[in-house]
Amino acid sequence: MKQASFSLRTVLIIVALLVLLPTAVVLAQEIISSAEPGYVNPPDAFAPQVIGDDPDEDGYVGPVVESDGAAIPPSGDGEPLDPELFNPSGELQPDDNAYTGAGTEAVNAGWSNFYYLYVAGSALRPRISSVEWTSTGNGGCMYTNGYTWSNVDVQLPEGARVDYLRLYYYDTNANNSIAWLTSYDGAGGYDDMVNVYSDSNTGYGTTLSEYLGEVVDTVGKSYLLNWNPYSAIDGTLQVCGLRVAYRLPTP
Amino acid sequence: MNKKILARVLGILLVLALLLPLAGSGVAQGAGPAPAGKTSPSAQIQAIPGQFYYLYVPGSALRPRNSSAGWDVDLNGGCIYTTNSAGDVFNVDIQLPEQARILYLRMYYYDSSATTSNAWVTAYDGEGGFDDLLYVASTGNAGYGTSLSALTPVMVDNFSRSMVLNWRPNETGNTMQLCGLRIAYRMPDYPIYLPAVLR
Repeated sequence: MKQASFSLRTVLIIVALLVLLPTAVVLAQEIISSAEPGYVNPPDAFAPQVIGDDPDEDGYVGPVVESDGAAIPPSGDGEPLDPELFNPSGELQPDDNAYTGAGTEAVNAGWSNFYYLYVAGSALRPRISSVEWTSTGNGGCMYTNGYTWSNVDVQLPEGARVDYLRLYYYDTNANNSIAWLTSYDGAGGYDDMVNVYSDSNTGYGTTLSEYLGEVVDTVGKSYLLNWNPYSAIDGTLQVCGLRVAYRLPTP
Repeated sequence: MNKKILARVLGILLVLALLLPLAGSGVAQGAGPAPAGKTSPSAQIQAIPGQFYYLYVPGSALRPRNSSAGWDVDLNGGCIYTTNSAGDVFNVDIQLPEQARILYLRMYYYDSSATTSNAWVTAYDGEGGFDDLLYVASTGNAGYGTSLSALTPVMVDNFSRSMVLNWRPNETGNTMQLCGLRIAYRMPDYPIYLPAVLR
């Protein structure tokens, strides 16, 4: 009889804990904030949102101020965009949609045309804090003062097939820099899926990786674009852009 | 004896209480969207051509183009300012759907300074060329505010150029902060394959 009484008390305590524990967890979640400690949201600085009262909102019917093409402060120094890019001969490359090299048709049956994920070199940052980085001129290229990797996150559609990685670079060095598309499994594993080297010493240029043909798995992997100057850290090797060419499966 | 029965009943209730969250979790998972891998990413969907879509980046997601520029964030963690380099540019990568049409750039800022900051959508060709596609400046000095660019239609071309959001504070310290940049764009008026990240 005494033991039953003890069991009842124990059960009641456990029930009480079960009730209190979730409450404590919720309270703790409210205390932990991404803002600095003690920060309180200010009163709304903007008028209550009315959709349709601004030109960049659906339903707006008022006057629109169009750009008059007047000069604006530039975000960098350098040349305007070159429509010829790197292909003045017009010769199609394997990562062009109109390319029809041997075997292309069979490999691409059931897949869409190319889509591109194109990241400016200056969007990369060193992956360790002790390394400095510099972006000069037009603001699109960057280099580091250390032989380390710089990276940028990429989000590719689940089930897409990555076919090529293209490196845009500045290279006046006898040696080359290198770029990768790398996947990580979150448990210490990584896979350099494809890489590409810069290839010249005459200044701006572009090189294309070999064909990859690997399907994106966003359930199991995260993806980064990596770049390493590898041979020089004096600005003679710079990354100016990285472009992933991928296809989507067609229904 | 009654206490024994009561204890047993409570024990059963306890077991049920422990099992209930697990069952609830299972129900919740079943009711959610299908796993990404189970849905064809290429299912054709019709974008709504007349509707605005937005790409909205908080100010604190930008970083200086040069590491010599120091930065800090406001207490809320969403706004950023430079601590030592008024003229340095901050940037962040953006990815927009192929052939989408950008129309506006909106800046959200905190500005209690006499100067104004500048923001751009800038394109690069990878060989040293650049083009400031859209431009907007902060206005006023009354604290939090927002300003909108002029209407500047630009077609997204992911084959030929990369794009970033750029911001130049033109002032050091927390009197000039970037709190957000928002691009308003429209989708092309025909069915396209939208990357899953946009759905």
